[in-house]
Amino acid sequence: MAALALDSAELYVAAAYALFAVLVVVYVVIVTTKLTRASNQAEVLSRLVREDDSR
Amino acid sequence: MQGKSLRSLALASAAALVAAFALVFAYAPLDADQGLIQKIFYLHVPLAIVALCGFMAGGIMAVRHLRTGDRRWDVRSYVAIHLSIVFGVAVLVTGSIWAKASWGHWWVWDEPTLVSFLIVFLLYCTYQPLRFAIEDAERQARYASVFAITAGAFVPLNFIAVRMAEAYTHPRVLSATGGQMPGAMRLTFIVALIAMALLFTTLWRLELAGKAAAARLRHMRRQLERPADPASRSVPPVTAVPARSSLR
Repeated sequence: MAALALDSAELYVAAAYALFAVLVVVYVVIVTTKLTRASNQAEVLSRLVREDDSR
Repeated sequence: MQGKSLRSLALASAAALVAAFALVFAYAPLDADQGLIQKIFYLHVPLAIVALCGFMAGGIMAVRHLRTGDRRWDVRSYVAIHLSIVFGVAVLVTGSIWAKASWGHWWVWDEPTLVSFLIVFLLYCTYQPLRFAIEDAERQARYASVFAITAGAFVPLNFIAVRMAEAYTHPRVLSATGGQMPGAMRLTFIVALIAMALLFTTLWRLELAGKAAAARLRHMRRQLERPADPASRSVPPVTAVPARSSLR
């Protein structure tokens, strides 16, 4: 198995690592967005529940 | 408390990944045969190992769910399998890039390791449609656990079968004797494997936290929709894992 020319090999290696980084970042952004939105909505709702109980 | 431990875990994962990539590009020697493209293995192989271990961990968690009836184990199993599928996508993509660079083809059908991983991946791709085709939450969890156990047992069997296959063209990174990696390469590989395992654990914990927050939200919505009943007006903690809820 002959080693590729450095330029071509660099491109493949960079593509592999970049795709991995993009995948992880996209996953983290999706999960964090969902978590933040749910936590914020839960805070609002828990306040409504407390207000409703105190009446 | 849980937020703090998740933050610590995330920092440890980030540090381990930085260390691993620094070792890959600044410490590990170039492979005499493959040259620079061998560096893809420090990403591809740990990803594959962690993804397969994640599938098996999902099966073990499913066993605990069926034994205890505790729905938290079902949620943990679901998240482990979901995350392993994401890692599986990364394995297939990075493997294809390496194959194109090394063999000149994006995919080779006569190579047992590639095809067996694809079979495992496609098997687990049916997990979510199967799971969410069942409406009843209890049955959904039970059937999903049975699937996770059966598929989880298939993973090591499949791996052993491939190892026993005679036609090898896929490079061996690890073997019972430690493979043919020199010390610097082996150290780099081990650090990369640890980093990937930490990343998996962090993302697993993060998604579990998301599921818990979503479950808490559903619980409160149900409470608000119900007629006033002060006895049922308890607000579960954000960190609680859903006890009875759909995972959607």
